[in-house]
Formats: sequence, C-alpha cells, structure tokens
Amino acid sequence: MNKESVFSAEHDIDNTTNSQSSIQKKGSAPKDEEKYETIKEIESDYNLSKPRRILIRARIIPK
Amino acid sequence: MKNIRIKKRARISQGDIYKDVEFIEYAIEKTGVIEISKIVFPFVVVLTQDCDLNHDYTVRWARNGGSNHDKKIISVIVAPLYNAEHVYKGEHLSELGMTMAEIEKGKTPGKTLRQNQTPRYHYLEFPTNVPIVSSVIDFKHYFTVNVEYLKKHKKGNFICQMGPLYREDVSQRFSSYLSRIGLPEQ
Repeated sequence: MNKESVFSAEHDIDNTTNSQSSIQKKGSAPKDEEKYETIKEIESDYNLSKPRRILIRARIIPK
Repeated sequence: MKNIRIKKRARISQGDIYKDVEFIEYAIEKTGVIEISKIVFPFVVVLTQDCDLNHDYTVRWARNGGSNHDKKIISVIVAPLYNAEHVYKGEHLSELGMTMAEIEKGKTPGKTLRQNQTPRYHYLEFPTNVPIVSSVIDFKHYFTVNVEYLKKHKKGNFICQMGPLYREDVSQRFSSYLSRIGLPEQ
C-alpha cells in the first residue's frame, strides 16, 4: 500500500501540465491571447478616462 | 440616478454632461514661439444656472434676440467627473502628476461620499444606456469654458443630461460648497 497521495506536489504538477496540453490541443491558446488583448484594451481605456495634459508649441509666422 | 435625458437639446443646459472638454491652462508667446498648455477632461457637467443659459442662447443665437446683449454670459461653469474607482485610490489626476488623498471605499469615508454627505464631492451612478462608470464630481475643481467653444463642442460630445431634481441637487450642493465659510482653527 505505497500509493502516491493525490495531494502531492508532483501530482499537481502532472495534472497542471496535462490540463495545459489539453487546452493547447483544442487550440484555445489564441483565444487566451485575444482575451489578453481585450484586457489590455480595457486597461488602456481605464487610463484614458483620466484628465491629461497637452502641450502645444508653435512658431508664429509673421504675415 | 434614474432620470436621464439622452436626447440633446439645441442649447447648452444645466446638468448636461459632455466628454473631452478642454481647459486652457495658459497660452504664452515668447520670441516668436507660442506655447499652449491645456488639460482635457474626459467628462464634465454643466453647473451654470439654466435660466442664464436659456437667456444667453436667446440673445446669442435665436432670431428674436432682443435689442441689447444684457443677458449674454461670458463663460459656462463646469466641473469634472472623475472615475469613482480612481478617486478612492487618489489616482484620478495621476496623468497630471498629482497624487490626491485616498478615500477608503469600504469604510465610512467611502460610504459618506456615496451618500453625498461629503460637501466637496457629488457621487453619481448612471443607467446602463449611458457609457459612464460610477463617477464623482469634484466641486473644488470647477472651471469655466467659453460659451461658443462649448456650443460647437457639444455636437458629437454630448453624453446625456441629468434629469430634473438630480441636476438641481448638484447645483444646490455646488453653490453650498462654494459659499462655505472657512473658520479659523482653534
């Protein structure tokens, strides 16, 4: 009765690896990338919703 | 806030909310180079009295404008709306290099703010058909905008108008904040 505990670190790592590979097999990785892009877009919008300063310098051309 | 008008009117009205309104900090000319610094506020609310805006519109743009310009106003008072989540963290002016005081969202200061019992701030929540997150008006940051600029800017930048009672509530709280009397500390 020297069974490996299901709560061992190795078991967790194995399962994680397996689950990752199954996701990759299903072709979900690009979807995750899309999600990541969407999150970045939302975050940038979040920053854009703050007041911002614009500085303009222009040379005056005499008529 | 349940009472919101999405349809825009021809004139600027009290309680109107506009996006991307510019505030000119300064414009200086030195040795043939002009430098202009401006702040773009994502959202502002109009605070000027509606009767003043109505009279100004009549004098300025309506055909029956009358014989003089007695009712013309010089500028419109507005106050910025900040993302409430940014306000809690004190980060709403981070793009301007300013750090503001934090307001603990889950504790008394946050609750007091949301109940509109903090004189400086006015908390607003919008229905889902208005593309604005929960926001806070900061009465201390009011500024004025040129009437003609705002009238032109309104086209394409009008978001909504706060409904009756809600806009009067904001106006009344703003005037109350502005007329506060600072007493010396003992």
